[in-house]
Amino acid sequence: MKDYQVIGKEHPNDQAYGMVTGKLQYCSDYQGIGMLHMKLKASSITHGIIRAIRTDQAEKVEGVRAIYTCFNTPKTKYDRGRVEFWEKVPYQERLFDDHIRFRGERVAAVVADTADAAQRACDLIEVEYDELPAVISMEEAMHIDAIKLHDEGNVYPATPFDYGDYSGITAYHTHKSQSHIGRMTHLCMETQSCRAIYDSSSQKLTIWSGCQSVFGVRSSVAQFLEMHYSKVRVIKPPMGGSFGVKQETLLEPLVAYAARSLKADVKLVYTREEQIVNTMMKHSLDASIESKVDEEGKILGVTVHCDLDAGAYLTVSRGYLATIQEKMGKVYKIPNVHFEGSTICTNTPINGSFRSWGSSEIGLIFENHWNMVARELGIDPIDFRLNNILSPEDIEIGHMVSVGNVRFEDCLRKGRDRFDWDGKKETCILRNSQQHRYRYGVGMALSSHTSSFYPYRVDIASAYIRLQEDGSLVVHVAIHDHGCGTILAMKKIVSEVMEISIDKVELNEADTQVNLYDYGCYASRSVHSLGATVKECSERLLDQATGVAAAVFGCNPSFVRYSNGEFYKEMDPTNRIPLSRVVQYSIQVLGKDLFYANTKNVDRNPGVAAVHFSEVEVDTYTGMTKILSCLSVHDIGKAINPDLCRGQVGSGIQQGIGMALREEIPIHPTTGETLVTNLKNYENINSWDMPDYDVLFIEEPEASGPFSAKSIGEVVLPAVAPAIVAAVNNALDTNLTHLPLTSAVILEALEEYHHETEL
Amino acid sequence: MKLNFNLNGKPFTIEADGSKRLLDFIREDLHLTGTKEGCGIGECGACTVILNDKAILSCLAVTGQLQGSDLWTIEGLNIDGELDQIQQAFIDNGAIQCGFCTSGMIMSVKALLMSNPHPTEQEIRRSLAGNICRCTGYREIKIAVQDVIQRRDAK
Repeated sequence: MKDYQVIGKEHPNDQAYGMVTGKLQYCSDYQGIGMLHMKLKASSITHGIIRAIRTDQAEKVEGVRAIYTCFNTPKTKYDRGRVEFWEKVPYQERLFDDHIRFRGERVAAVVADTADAAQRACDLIEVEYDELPAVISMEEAMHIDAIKLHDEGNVYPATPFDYGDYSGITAYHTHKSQSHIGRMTHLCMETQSCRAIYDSSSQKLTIWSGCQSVFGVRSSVAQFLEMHYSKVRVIKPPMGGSFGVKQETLLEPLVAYAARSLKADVKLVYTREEQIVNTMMKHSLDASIESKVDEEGKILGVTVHCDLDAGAYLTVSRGYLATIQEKMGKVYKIPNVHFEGSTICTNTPINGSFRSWGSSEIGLIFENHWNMVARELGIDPIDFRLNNILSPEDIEIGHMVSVGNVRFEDCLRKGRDRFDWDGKKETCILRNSQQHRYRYGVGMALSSHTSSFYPYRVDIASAYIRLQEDGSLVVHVAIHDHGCGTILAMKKIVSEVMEISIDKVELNEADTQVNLYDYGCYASRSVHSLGATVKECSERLLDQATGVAAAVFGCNPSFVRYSNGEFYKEMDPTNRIPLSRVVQYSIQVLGKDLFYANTKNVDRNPGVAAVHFSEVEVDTYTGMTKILSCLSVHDIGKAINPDLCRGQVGSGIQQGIGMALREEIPIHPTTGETLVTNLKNYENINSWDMPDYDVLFIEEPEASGPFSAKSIGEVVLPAVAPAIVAAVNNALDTNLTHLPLTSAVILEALEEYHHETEL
Repeated sequence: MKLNFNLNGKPFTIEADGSKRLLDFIREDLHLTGTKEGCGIGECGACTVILNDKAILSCLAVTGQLQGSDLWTIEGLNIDGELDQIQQAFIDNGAIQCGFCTSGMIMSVKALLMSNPHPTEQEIRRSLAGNICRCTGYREIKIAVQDVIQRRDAK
């Protein structure tokens, strides 16, 4: 691939200086004169109706400004997953509902001069409930006599999907398996926070929220408060991680409502417990899969049934289930596919958006299954994949569009060598034969993800860039950086095109008042789609500047050349004029400002391929699994920020190991109580547990991405957990697919195995 | 209560509520918001500061403990504008993504290197085990710490 000046070169993350010095202000850091603080009270019951709320004692706490409950706030419904008013969404949530549907749901909010006063007042609020029976499991919620959480019922069946005719095929080998995924928390280090100021002189509302869609938040809040969109400004400040938890509108309607009611500056910062219970968790799901495969291991067809637990409100879950189905066609060529399932509401905390929508879920369902099928057929799992993967530019069946220049084969073959797959396989067998306590195994899994919305929705990407008087540049594009370097990527793209240093390019994050429209940071589209429009915008701006330079030189633009921030005529390279001179001439002589505004409709959605390899040691005495080595191979197109991309891969591995072996938020099966609400009990992978890992990028051309860049943010996760599951199963000769594979799960499986062998 | 202590290398006096959580005192009364809250129960390390040469979790300490002590927060590491070697190494080695764990992570490293100038890889891993990072996979952070040691030894 071509070598560039800044693209693909290592460079510190944008705002890194502010991060290491503690000077960078996140939303939760904002302080202001007269700022009020909000605290929330959570329900102590799992299901019921609020009969009364007594706030008289709470009102007496010094500094309390307002107390909000279901009895004094609008009954208007809104939807946290909605971005635009034309979308069909459930609209089930209110600021406060008298019908409580899960334990921990907010029942009141106090706004006070200090957070401490607000908390003390919350503690003094008394709520009386009429309790209702609760349905905790999906099975209970599906029962014909089950109490209904919503008027629409508890069960929302997906539209069955069919491609080919699964039931009509006969095969050499039919295999069935089941997968279960438990709930997880995103564990972004900054909890949810929101600040809103209502300025009564201008009657304008300004909201700061570390969100993934400023236009989505604005749309929801403005409609809820019946304000003109133009009077609501949403700004995205630096964000301490998201992993999907900041992609829905959670705090903003409430904080904005309080700010407008009180004509004040109001801030709400979630505690970690609220972050776990009152945002959303990764969906728990139960899936069964059956496949038909021929003698050579060619997949003939597959049928999947998947039930997804939405929690107490439907929110985005129906769409999430549909995404699982859509992702079925992104990796393998399967001529006959059937998918069905349901989204089910239960009296439990809400499940919702999580990094790599659908890819993680279908990744686990498929990869666990294919690893078992390959083992049963005696085919190496890599060879099994090589026989079934999509080739570049194949058509995926979910949307019937090209998968772009996706490189599954390269990832598999290069990864196999780099990891020494065949050598490690032999070594594991040898080590297992030499002793009994430790079992060694290797596993691998394959996955993919998107780079844009296309064609699921119109991927409209807009930007404008203005050349400043001194030749520096200000870029306006609605970027929502999660900390992974998308601001830096945009700056690098402009810097590369304009041939000026990165520090001359300035870019503020998403702001509804200064940016052109953008749907938001979803589907890992930022670098691919917004980057493409920023690149095109820079190129057109340079064309315009070239025209002005031609006027300065008094020649036709075709004679003008550009290099390192200076224009010259090809015939006279010594006479050079800088960008600043071009701007001056444009303004002073031509009377024209130098800027370009660009809206692009992205018409490709290249897939990104990922393969993860894992080597594990399972201690059969303790049930503990240790990762001895692992490798992630990623075809992401051009890595614009290779150093930050490697960090992203590390983050996916950290989260994926957690998903496979440790991370779970259990819900009490009868009370519906969330049993893990803090980081003491939420087992995750720290620096001591984290294995050394290897990263390999496959960088091949992709016409649609800027400098061939595709995406990385989400694809780093889905292959990791199934590869570890496969390695554990390889080590123990088991078929475990009930995640996470904690020590207890493994010991139980070993005991069962011994019991069976004794019989 | 009237508190006298050294704040980031300089004597400091303030009237304060000694029972207030140290993290809140640092953020709300001293307005030093570089120290972050990630969990509130001493499990994530985002609120790490250095008190009397030891890394402590400010969410588990009270303000009264400051009396006569020596407190360093992240804001104290680059007094006079020059970055501490650890801060520079984090920037240079891609050890930062969202940055929310960074100040606590850097303070933990600072305390480690004060007590043990040449930690082994295992010691680095162990001493950072109380600082959660969800964005990097820890590798670049460990490399940054090793880089500090190498650069210092090269001098």
